[in-house]
Amino acid sequence: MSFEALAITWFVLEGVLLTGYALLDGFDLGVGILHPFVPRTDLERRISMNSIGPLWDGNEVWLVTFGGALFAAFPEAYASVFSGFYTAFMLLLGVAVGNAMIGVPLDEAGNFTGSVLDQLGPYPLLVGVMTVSLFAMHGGLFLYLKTEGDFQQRLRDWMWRSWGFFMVTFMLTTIATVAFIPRATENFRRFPWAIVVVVGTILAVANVPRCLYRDKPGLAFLSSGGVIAGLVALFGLALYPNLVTATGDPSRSVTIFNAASSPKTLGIMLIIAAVGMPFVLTYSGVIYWTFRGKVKLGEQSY
Amino acid sequence: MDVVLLSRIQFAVSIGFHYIFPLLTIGLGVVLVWLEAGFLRTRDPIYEAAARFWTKVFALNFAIGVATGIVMEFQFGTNWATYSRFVGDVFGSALAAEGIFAFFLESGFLAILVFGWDRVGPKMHFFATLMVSLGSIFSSVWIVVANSWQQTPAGHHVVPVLRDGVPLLKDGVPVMRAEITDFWAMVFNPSTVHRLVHVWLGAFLVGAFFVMSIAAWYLLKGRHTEFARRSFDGGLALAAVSAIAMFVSGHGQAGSVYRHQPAKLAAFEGHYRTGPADLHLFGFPDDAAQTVRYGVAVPGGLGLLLHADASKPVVGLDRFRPEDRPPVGISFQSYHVMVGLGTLFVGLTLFAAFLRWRGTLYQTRWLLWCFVPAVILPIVGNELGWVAAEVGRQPWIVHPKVTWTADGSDLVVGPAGRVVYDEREGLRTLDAASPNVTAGQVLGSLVGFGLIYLALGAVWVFILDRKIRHGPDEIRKEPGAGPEGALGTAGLRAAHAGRLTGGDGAQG
Repeated sequence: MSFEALAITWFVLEGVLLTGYALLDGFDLGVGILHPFVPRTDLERRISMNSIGPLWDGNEVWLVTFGGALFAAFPEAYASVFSGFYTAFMLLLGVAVGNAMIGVPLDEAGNFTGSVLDQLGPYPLLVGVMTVSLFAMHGGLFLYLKTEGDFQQRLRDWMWRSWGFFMVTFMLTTIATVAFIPRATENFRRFPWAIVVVVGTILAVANVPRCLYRDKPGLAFLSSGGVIAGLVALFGLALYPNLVTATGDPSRSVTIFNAASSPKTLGIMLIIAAVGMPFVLTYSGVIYWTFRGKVKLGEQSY
Repeated sequence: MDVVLLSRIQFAVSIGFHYIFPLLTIGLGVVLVWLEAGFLRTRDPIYEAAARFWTKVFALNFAIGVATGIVMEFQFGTNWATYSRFVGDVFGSALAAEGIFAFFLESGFLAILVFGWDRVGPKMHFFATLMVSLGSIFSSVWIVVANSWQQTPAGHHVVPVLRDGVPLLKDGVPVMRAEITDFWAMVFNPSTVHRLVHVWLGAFLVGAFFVMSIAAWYLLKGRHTEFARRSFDGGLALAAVSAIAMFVSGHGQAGSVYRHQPAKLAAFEGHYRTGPADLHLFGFPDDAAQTVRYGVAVPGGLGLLLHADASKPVVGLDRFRPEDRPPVGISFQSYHVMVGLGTLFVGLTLFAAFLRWRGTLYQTRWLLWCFVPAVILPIVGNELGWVAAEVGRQPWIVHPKVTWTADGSDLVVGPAGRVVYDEREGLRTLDAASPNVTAGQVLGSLVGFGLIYLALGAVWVFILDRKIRHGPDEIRKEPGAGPEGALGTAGLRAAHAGRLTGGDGAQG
């Protein structure tokens, strides 16, 4: 494979890892966000915690692997992002995502030259709030699938609420992106096929209330997974080929080509991923299958 | 304080705290595999009760290990951006392999290990336990590979960073980075195998002493005695074998350190002047006087160990420019306390094994009392081993190669009889930190981590104490037929009423 093809492949694979994390840990985080609001009794709180109990740890690994792969495939970006967003990173992941979208001041070696306040602007915060509401919806749907009776009925309201909240922030974010970040929409002119992702994401957003209305929570959960995957894909499309965008001089931006490791390393990592990921997917499937169905509290539960 | 020093402190604090948990996980993982294999072989329910108990403790350690480990992974980028740029191409692939081969494996199957007792059969459960244990061992492989490459780099070349085909300049100087040329040479760099064996043995010692500590406490309190005896026996066997193997491993490693990082070994031994070298049992190195004060030493002992000849000269710190020498005091003391503890483990475990053979171990209460707090010692030993390895590598974060003369008796030196390192091949820690992060930011996060880790440590001790007070569950007459469903809590209470192993019945 050529260097360009390898760099693009790893850009896509990073997207896959980020999607895996957002999809899977998204519902863990969502259950956590809803935890103070929905469960009323101790039993309900235990059910809520045990719905994600066996799974959250494995789900976190997608983020860990995303970070490890970023370090390996795009060390320049890894170094710029994490040292540049030092404080923000220690505070909130969503804000870091928003910053990567809107761009940050970089010097000629790719080091961040702004201050912390530059990182807490309205756009990054909006993306942060949208992410929280999306995860709340995703987690609510997951919890709905894992519970029964009165507890489950109460979750219905929360699913509608979080969907509504997500809709509002999603539209605001879209408007803000189109209005203030011209670069984000450029790639859609370059790659007309990318409009499919936009339409698909909007359909997935619309399908969540449709499935809820028709009492098909499983499909609604899949749709909200589709929303997450779609948003990660849109994020990647808007970013490409940049990983960190420089606000002043665009030539200072950290791109997947100037941040990448050597072709040798990218190739070695591709072999590692090709050997390892089929195993990961297989046994993750087996483990999820083992814990299918409604939450049952047993001796080993929290 | 400057940003590099603060970043060093933050790294030391966060890894020092994190390191406790992988050690416990690797050590206890081996214990769990042994217990579940015992259950599969004999179907003796005491093995299952023991495995269930240690699983709960294992899960607690594992969770804290994961939470603190995520911090480690991102800290390379946050605090050591220049380092990350320099090593990313080499170090990154090991880290990515760790994620894909190790972390997914251990974290995924952990679900079945901890929560799957009533959902899968004993064979599948054993398989899951085996995978978790293997995963934890794999994760140590890749991180030790990455760290060993920093000590003894191999399988790479240092080349300019290209941006769109043009060398990237900073202040007019090309920015350099290490790129991989031979993956397996990188993985099996000269120190990987020695250091990996050393780390595993250290982890086994921690796991074994951890089990013995809790078991000894039960034996002294007369609770769960059958469970405690079997646990203690298993722990003692693992500890005694590991302690003896540790000496062989340590000796091999010292030879390797001398060949590849002679300044480090000289600092370990406070060996200032090239010539015949003593082996210190203890002492206080004095940099100003270039000597070890109040020391007790075996004359020529170091030469004897390295060359099998006490009179043969050993390269000392005088072969290195002052700015190329590691801090001698910290290196010397951490190394010596570690070796001292290793010697103590051999003595303690062999004495206990002798009493066990005589059949009087469980009546020797003072010795059991020694084992209760003794778990601290192998943890301290491991931490000091890490300190010695990392401080001894200074001032380098990536250590450049040294060259020996043809007959291997001395280093190739430059003017004034001192080694001239190829600066391009290595990276100094002072140059490795993030250029754009301020001391205030690091101080803020350091205080934050300090507080969070103190809280996390307190929670760990609190939950651990509750689990230990609660103890293992009653021995089941029908293995695998656990209480299930929403009636679980009621079933649990009923089961406790019929507990066979005694105890105070405090519920966890």
